[in-house]
Amino acid sequence: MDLAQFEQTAPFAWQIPKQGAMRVPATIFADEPLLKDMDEKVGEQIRNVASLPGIVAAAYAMPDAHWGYGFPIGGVAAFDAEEGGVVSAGGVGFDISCGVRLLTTALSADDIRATQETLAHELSRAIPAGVGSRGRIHLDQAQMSAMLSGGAGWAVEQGYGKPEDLERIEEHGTMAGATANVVSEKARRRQQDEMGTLGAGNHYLEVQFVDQVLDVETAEGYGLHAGQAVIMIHCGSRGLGHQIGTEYLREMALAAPGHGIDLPDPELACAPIVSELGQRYLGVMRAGINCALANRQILAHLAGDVFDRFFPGVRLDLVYDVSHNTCKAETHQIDGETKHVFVHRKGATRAFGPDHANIPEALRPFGQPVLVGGSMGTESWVLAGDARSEAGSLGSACHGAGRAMSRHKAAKLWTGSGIIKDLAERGITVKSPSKRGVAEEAPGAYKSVARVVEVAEKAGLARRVARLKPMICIKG
Amino acid sequence: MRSTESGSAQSDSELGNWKLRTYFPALALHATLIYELATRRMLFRDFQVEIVGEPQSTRATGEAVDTQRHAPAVEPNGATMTDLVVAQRAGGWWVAQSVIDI
Repeated sequence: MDLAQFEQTAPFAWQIPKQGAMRVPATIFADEPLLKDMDEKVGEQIRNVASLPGIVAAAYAMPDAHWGYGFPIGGVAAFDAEEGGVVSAGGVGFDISCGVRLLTTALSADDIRATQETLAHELSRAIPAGVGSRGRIHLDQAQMSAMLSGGAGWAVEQGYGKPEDLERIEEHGTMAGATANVVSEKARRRQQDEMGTLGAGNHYLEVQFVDQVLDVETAEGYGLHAGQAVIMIHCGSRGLGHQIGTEYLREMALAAPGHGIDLPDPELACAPIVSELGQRYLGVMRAGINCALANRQILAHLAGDVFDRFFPGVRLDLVYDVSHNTCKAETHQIDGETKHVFVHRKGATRAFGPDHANIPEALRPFGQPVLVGGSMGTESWVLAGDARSEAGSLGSACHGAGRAMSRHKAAKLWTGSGIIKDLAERGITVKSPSKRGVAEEAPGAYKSVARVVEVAEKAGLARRVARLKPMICIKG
Repeated sequence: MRSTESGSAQSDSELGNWKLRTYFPALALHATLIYELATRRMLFRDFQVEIVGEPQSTRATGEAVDTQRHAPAVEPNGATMTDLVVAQRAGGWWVAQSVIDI
């Protein structure tokens, strides 16, 4: 990225001033090396976002930002309906409500190591993963509607997990305002056999251990301690979310001129929040959020069944479940005013600070857990929302490491068998139906998540709490 | 089919809208193939497409996904509007290209 276009407004904030069609400035949170390594496209895309109608404050990009469709991955933008603001299917992304959940166990890393290979094998049998995989759950139309309306709450009613889990999920497990009846037949059809499946690509279920605690008080508040075995799940709304994205990207792109919207990039497809199309998308997108919340709830339950066979009576307790591809109605202080806005986070995690009313009461003294997945060979992180992010980034932080190279290049550099062998020698068991998929997800194909979270902390987006290292990775 | 160069008097945005409307049949075809792939659990290899406006008829042949034999690495999930190309190649073959979200 060419740094000449930026003004450095803080040690870890770089701003492109409002110019041309931009309605607000664009800010990227990074240090100089991270910014230099970012694609030029990130700068172009964040300027495009800053030109959309009704955007307020600024268009933001997180330290892990990289090129995306329309919006950059790691992009955050808020729109005010009263100022002609838009909701954008491109700003949410195809995998609606893709996100991460973290569960604690009373087990140690050594407990896992004692049975690591057989546990990995049984988890890989219990968790449907990969292209063409189907779950054991098959929904009829009525069940589909109930799931799309109820989210993780529906899953708990069906016996997947515990009622107390819901307190530790964004929106208490159920996204209000979902219009299940408006979700298309095609989207429903794609999802009817996919509940409780992991999918492919960068989605995973990992058994990890807490390798390092940086903030002891917050870690204890989250139920984490050094040496403890934990489970992280990264997954989204599967075929349903992608079908919704496909349908509304097209419809919004075609309808934009009729709404008087001049799209600088068709992938920024959007519609005024107050329009029929905007309202229809919001309702359907919320149903997609519920699908993702239900899916992660079921996956956690399936993992719990396996753990119970190996460690009878063991509890898996949810630390938190947070999405990083959403648009949500939120209240923020912007330019000294209280504003009700629609915040798009695409590859960015909500990161509300301590005492925020929208995080579980038990977690309020510490701030919202921000769960940042790394690659299968390196590390993941638990951060805590920093109150400064409210003013800095609309209460948002990073979501992952970000790819350092294309899948094609990674598959040329590494083999799946080689990666699996190398990781096994480092004590990490990988189970995947696709060797090529493992090669494409090679740890070396990702940027350093450690640098991303360090910069996120220094930029005041979120505080580092604990570093997690993988032991078992189930991938699609 | 018009080439994008022929619209040089248009603004980038107008050109984008024209291109979208022109290329959307190809995009719709990709979206349909992804839907069929997902719901039929199939991989496709040969395609016969007739496009007059919207695709009038499409015949795709392939086989059921065999995870062991095909070992597919990624799951095609959505057809994007990035790098949309519809063009005729040497030998008379037509290419309908879009970046696929996985």
